Amino acid sequence: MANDKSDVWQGTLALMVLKTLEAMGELHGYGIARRIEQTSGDLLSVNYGTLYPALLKLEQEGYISSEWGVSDNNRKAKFYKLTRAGRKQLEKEAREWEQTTAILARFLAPGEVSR
Amino acid sequence: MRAIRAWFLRVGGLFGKQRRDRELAAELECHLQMHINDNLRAGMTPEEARRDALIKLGGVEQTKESVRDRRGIPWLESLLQDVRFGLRMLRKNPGFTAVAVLTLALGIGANTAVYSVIDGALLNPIPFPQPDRIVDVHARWPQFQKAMLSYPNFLDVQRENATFEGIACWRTESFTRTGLGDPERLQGKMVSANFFSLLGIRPLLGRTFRAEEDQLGAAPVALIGEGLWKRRFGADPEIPGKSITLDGKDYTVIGVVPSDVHLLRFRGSFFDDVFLPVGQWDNPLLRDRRNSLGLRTVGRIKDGVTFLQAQAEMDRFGKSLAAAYPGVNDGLSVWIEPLKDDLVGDIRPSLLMLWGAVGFVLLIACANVANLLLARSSGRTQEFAIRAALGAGRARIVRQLLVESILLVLAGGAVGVGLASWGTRGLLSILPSALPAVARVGINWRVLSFALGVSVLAGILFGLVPALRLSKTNLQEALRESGRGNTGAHHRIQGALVAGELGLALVLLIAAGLLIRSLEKVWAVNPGFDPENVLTFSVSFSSGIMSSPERAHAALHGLVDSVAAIPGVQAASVDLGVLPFEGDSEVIFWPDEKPKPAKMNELPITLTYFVGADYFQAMRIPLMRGRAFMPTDDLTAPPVVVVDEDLANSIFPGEDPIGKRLHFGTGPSQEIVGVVGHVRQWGLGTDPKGATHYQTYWSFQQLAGPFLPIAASTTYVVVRSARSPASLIDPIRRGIHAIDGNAPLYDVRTMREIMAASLAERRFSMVLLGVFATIALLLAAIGIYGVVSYLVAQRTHEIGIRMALGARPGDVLRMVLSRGGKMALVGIALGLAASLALTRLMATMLFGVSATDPITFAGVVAILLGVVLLACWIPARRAMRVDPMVALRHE
Repeated sequence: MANDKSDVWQGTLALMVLKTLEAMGELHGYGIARRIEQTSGDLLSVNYGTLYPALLKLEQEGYISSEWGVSDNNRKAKFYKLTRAGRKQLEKEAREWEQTTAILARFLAPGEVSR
Repeated sequence: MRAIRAWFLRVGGLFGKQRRDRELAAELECHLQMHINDNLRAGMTPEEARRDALIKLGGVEQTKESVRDRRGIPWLESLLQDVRFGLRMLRKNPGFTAVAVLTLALGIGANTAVYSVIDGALLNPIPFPQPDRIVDVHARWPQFQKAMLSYPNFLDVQRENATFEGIACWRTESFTRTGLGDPERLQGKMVSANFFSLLGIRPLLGRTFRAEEDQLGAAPVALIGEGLWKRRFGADPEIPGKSITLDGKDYTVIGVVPSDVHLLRFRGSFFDDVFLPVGQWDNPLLRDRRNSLGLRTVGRIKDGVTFLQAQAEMDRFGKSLAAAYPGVNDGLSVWIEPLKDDLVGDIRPSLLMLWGAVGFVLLIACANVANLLLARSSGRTQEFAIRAALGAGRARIVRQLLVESILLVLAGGAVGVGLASWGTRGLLSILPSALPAVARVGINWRVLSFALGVSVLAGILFGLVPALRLSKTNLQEALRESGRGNTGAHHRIQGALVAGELGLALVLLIAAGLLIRSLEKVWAVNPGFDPENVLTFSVSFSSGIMSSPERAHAALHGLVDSVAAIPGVQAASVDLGVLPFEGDSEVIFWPDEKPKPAKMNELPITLTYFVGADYFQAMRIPLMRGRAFMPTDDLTAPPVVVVDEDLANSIFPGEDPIGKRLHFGTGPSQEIVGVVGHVRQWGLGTDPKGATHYQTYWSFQQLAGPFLPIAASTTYVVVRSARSPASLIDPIRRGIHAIDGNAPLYDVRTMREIMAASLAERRFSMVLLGVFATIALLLAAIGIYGVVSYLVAQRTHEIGIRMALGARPGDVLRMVLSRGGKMALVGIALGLAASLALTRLMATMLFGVSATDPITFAGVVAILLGVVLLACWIPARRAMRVDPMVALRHE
């Protein structure tokens, strides 16, 4: 069942959204959600509903902007894209995240802790 | 930065809600459709596809809700919702809203009005910069606590002090202006050159005096007040350099200054029209160290110097001045007093009492509105039960009710401030002379913020009780009971509030009653003369006439003769210097037969009245022994004096004072020819502490020397007539102009008016407290009426059953009245206890009644009981008319 999938934990969703938009350019909400799931190799389960407040927050902070457009199958949809500030923020957060994981990785490496 | 931007957008998110909601719905719909399409492609059935998509989205409505929370500011939004809802509720109950708003408006308005007076008269009476550093400089003599410095003493202190930024002096003087239109009497000041800069008064036009102009022999210059400038010169911007004629002398106007320079607690308020440099005054007495000539001294203490340091320096000055001029300055000391204390004076206790009184009125208003809310809340129990059932927390419901209360109180406050600004103007126009610096009293930002603070406090005060009560009611019960039943606790609160209101109202009524009785007693005091049908006026003859005793006496004689010749006039006399209740002219004296004491400052002091032969007759001051003055008591006759009975009894106990002689510092001794009754110079109430009690009358015809122009600069005339005083004015004016065409006639008043004016402060407190007590009584009556009516309405059913079981209307009446009576008795007990404690504080304002005057207490309790009975009787009558059948069927 879906129980073996991890929920997206708080704070990382924003980073994932930014990264997704960097990779894909313009994308609508549903597309962002699906893309995050795919990228995670279906290990993550996104509650799509939590995505929309997160998108609104990013937009209020000026990291992304939105525009109504037409989707591939001719449906009217709202498209999000990264702003310049968003690109910078992505770089900054990605760097911080890498640092954190690198540190944790060292801690978790077997037999390396007390050296 | 990002966070601030986000907050701005969220505040913006409060608006354009519907469009955003539509967009969000469209976006989510699009999301769903894309998801469903994908699911279909993956091979699900349409139902499955839709169901799965909805589950993944976590529900459309929940998503919308969380987006909305992020979009705006949830608590602000729900607050706005509460406000909108509250406004709707208030609009739906216009009767309730009107009564509550009006009640609060009365309470808040009264508070605001009194606060505006307190703000202007008590807290900020001095309209100059850094008012706390301005002090009055007084002299102290062994006989006088508060005396004035003479000009030479002032100059020494001014020159040598180190703790003051400056010391200035001033004296009031009036002038006769001639040329350009009718001659007129102008009020003014003679000031030292630094007077304006010291106080921080800037000229509106031109400049103020220079030090070299404040000297004998300097070119005559004058400043004019704003009032005169506008009134007489049409606000001419070219006025500096033009000339003005005062007392027959031409002065060059050098500038215009504001008129409202209030430095004294005036009996009336007047505005200064002209200012002259005091140093130019050529009266030789000014430069005589023994005379103060009404000179007042103010100083501004330097920054960083304490009051005590400044006082210490003054102590040194007092000692050195006393040592340097023995025989003149013996016993002199110099002391300072904050100008504010001097200005505020004895109005403080009255104002504080009134402040307390309006506080009571506000409490009563709050209790009334709380009762209204309580009564109304019983009708709303169901509404709140439903809200609670739908998930509203207790805090949310309390907040909703508080928002409604605050809305009520803000509306009440707005109306109240309107009432206050109107009421304050009204008050000041009725009783202007009781307050210092009246020009400054009005609605300003301090008063407005006070009103706002009081309003919000009141809103929380009366809103919290019903809100907490209501939020505590049991859900199920409320729903089941269909909102009728209210618990006994509810009634107990209402009863307690009404009892409290009655108690507060009783305190105010008793205080007002005590003041009314005091005024009655004061008014009944015998002033020592008969004020009925006595007209007084003032006249100023030009300086040419007043410079020689012969011409002055002739003019004054001519004046009295012309007035006495008017038909209906029974007696007339001049009175120079002091009029009963007004003015102050004092000299030392000692009896001839005893040796002159070595120290001047141990001598007794007496008031001096310079009067004509018919003065005692005109005033009807009783002659006890000897004779009054005669036309022959002039400069060629031996000097004589008439004394009052107090002087006669104290100085010559057990002896016949007639024929004894008194010395008055200068000149030959004067023979006592008569003894007359004592006059209450200082007002009808209790004499102020240290007031001079002895009185001597001098024949004005024996007045000569340099005193004459001073004494005669204000010539009062008293006229007793059988005719209405108003009809005398024209003939009097004609008589004056026949003697001196340039002499203005002014200050025309009856003796009764002067007496009434002397009681202005007393009347001010009494009228205000009376008004507040009446409002309090009215509100309390409405309160008890409301509660008893409510009770009757609630118990219609029960009353119906009782009557069906045989109760007579009388029984019902008794039942209802006893409910009201119980509240009244508790209230009266509380009120009496509080009154006994509080009225003692107003002992200084009372005259002739004790603070626990049983007559006042009993009378007021009777009035209150009567009003309570009336307020209960109306609903009781309604209860008596209950038709048992109708009442029972009603259920």
